[in-house]
Amino acid sequence: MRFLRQANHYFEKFKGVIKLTNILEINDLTKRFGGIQALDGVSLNLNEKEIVGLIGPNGCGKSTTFNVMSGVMEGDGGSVMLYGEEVYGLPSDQINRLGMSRTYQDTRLWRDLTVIENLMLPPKNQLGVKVLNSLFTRNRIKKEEKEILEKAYDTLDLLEITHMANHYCSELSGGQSKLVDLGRVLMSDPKILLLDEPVAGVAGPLAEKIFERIGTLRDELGLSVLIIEHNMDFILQQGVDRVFVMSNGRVVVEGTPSEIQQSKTVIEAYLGE
Amino acid sequence: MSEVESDLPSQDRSKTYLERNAIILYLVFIAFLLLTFISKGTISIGRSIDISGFNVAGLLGSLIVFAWKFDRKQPHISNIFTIGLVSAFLVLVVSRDSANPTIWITSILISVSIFGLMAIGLNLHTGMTGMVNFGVIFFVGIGAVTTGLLNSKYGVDPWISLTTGIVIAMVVGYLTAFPTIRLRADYFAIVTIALGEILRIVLNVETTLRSRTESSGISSPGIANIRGPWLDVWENAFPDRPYLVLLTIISVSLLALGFVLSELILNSPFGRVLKTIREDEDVVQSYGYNVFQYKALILAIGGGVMAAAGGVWAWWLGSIFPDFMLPTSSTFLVWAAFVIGGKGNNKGMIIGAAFITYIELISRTITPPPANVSFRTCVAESSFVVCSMDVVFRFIVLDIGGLLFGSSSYTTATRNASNIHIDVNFLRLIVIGLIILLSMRYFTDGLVPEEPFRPKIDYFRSSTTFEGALRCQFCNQLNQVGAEVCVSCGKRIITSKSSKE
Ligand SMILES: Nc1ncnc2c1ncn2[C@@H]1O[C@H](COP(=O)(O)OP(=O)(O)OP(=O)(O)O)[C@@H](O)[C@H]1O
Ligand SMILES: [Mg+2]
Repeated sequence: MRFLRQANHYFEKFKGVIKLTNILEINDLTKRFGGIQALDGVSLNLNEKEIVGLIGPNGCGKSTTFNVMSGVMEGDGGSVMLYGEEVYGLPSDQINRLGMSRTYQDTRLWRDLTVIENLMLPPKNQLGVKVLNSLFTRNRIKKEEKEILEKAYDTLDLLEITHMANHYCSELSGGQSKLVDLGRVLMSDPKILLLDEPVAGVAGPLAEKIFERIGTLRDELGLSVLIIEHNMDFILQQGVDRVFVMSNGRVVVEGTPSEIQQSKTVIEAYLGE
Repeated sequence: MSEVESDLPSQDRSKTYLERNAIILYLVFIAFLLLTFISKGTISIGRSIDISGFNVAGLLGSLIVFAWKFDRKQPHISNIFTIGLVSAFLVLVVSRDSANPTIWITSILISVSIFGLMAIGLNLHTGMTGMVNFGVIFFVGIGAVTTGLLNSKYGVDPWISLTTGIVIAMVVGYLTAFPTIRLRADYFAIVTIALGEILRIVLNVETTLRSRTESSGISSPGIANIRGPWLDVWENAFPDRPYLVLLTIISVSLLALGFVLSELILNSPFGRVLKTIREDEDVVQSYGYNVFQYKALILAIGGGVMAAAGGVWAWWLGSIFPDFMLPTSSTFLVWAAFVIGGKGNNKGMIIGAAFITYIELISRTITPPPANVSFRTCVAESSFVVCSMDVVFRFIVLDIGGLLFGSSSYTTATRNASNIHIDVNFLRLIVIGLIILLSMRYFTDGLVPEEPFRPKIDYFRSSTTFEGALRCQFCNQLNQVGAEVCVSCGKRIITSKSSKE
């Protein structure tokens, strides 16, 4: 017993010293659209409980990186290691089930369904999504639905859009759509969260609140988050751990916010050569 | 929020204006139905159509007012509307003069059941999952041929034959998913058209799979004398009543069964996955659902429902002639029912099927009015109303119809009117097409549109602290600032501002 306790003690100590576990590692991702080399060997990594920003000018390949690593789009080559396992080339539903959820830049909500129904699909391991269960175990499904509904309302409360719950998604404004999209992805209980410009079009104070909230989620649930953001000044003030800067389909700089702020390469990337 | 509640005028809690109006309109609706009974046979359009014209007009009028005035996406409004429509349909059917009422009523009910089942299957495929299926008749054909073949050729029990047909259609439906899954909606639609046509043409040439025609003269083994379920039992028990009565009961029960099945699916989490696939399948996939599996499953289930329709059709017809698979007498009509009824809503499917079947059967028995009627002669006639309706009808059919569709000009059409023969039967498809067009233009969602998922929250959520939300005093639902009517229950929100005024 004593030995075990001691071992545990050393283990705890060690965890503080060694680098955090690397849960997502992307190497040399490439993707070509006709004449455009959208991704030209993108490599980046994400540690456990880390919030990482991905920035870069328009059309530099940020969204394409997300598309390829989440399995939504076929890539031309590279590797995506998720928890030490190669997932490159797997269909997106399998990657999602390993704990990585993503949002889309243009939200892609299910427009002719209500907000609340959009939020009720993502939770994993639902009984009722099996056709036979949906016919024969109706009582259990009712209970499950009620729990999910409650959770969905909590999520909406968090994002301050509870009053839109029963509206069609097609009736939402741009910023509201972004919030619902964020709620939807949070409903899927991800361990790794890929957010594509989550606060584009969201009013300033709420945007900051959302980043704060992402921070608390990281602390409470142990989330790791990769955020694409357009506004460099904004993301550097939001307390992210690291930032990757992309330009022309490559990661050109990696560093902490303060390093990025002083980097010449970054300024060049943003202003163009 | 609490101050909003204390400001409520208490007398307005029980009934809102919306509910009051709905009830009044519904009463008007019922009154028209009763009028149809009372005035039966006294007012009629044309010579041989004996629908009471005033009541049809009144019925349509109140329907349009109802549809225009109320949000048919609210569950209770939708239910009132559906019940109203179904009872209107039943009254219309029962009150129609007919040489043999039993035959008329049973055939229209069986026909509605068949088309209703087909439409429900189509709703599973297209309305819920978004897979555009123009080959409804493919699955129907599989069901009909299997049921007929097993029963007439091998003497298998009708129920077992039907079940086999359904199972085969389900397997085929599941397999259809494999080659078509990566196709976009329009290409999938083309494939389904092809499937239906392939089956029809095969039936045309393969004599063992259809009834022989008189002209062929050779005794071929094809599918004829299909016996419906419990035929002997019925004939022993009620020798003087036609078997059609039992077949009606069976087919209506099957329709009810299909309806319940489809409702269970629609309102379950499984149905939710289907609806999201309809909206954006890539996103569904990236939320961890295997879209292929869902599509294949629903192709199978919908195919099974359609095959059931085919089986009933085989029982009803008694023998299989492949021309029942002509697109104009099947797929086209099902799609009309689907569009008019309201895609995504099972109640709408039955309404649509009833609507289309009624128009179809009525237009088969219509005859054009005599060519020599005019308003002048009508004055002398005993029934002025009937006569002048004839005049109007003649003007529409002969003059306008002749001008638009005929080769003769307006003048020749009027001068030699008695020489022109227009079989109104051929107007049927024009009428149905017109109805589809009008319905797509003015009722984009159909008569009974899809109901959005708006669950009631039966507990008071106090955790919402932010500004700019109005709480509905009836259902506790939060609404946007400035909202006048609650998005959830449709009742008027009484804000502190409006109650002070
Ligand atoms: N589906 C596609 N087909 C063809 N080209 C594409 C496609 N998607 C992206 N591209 C191209 O790939 C390049 C990278 O696009 P991407 O969407 O990844 O940019 P981004 O960094 O997300 O830009 P933004 O900040 O504007 O969102 C662009 O040049 C774009 O034109
Ligand atoms: Mg982008």
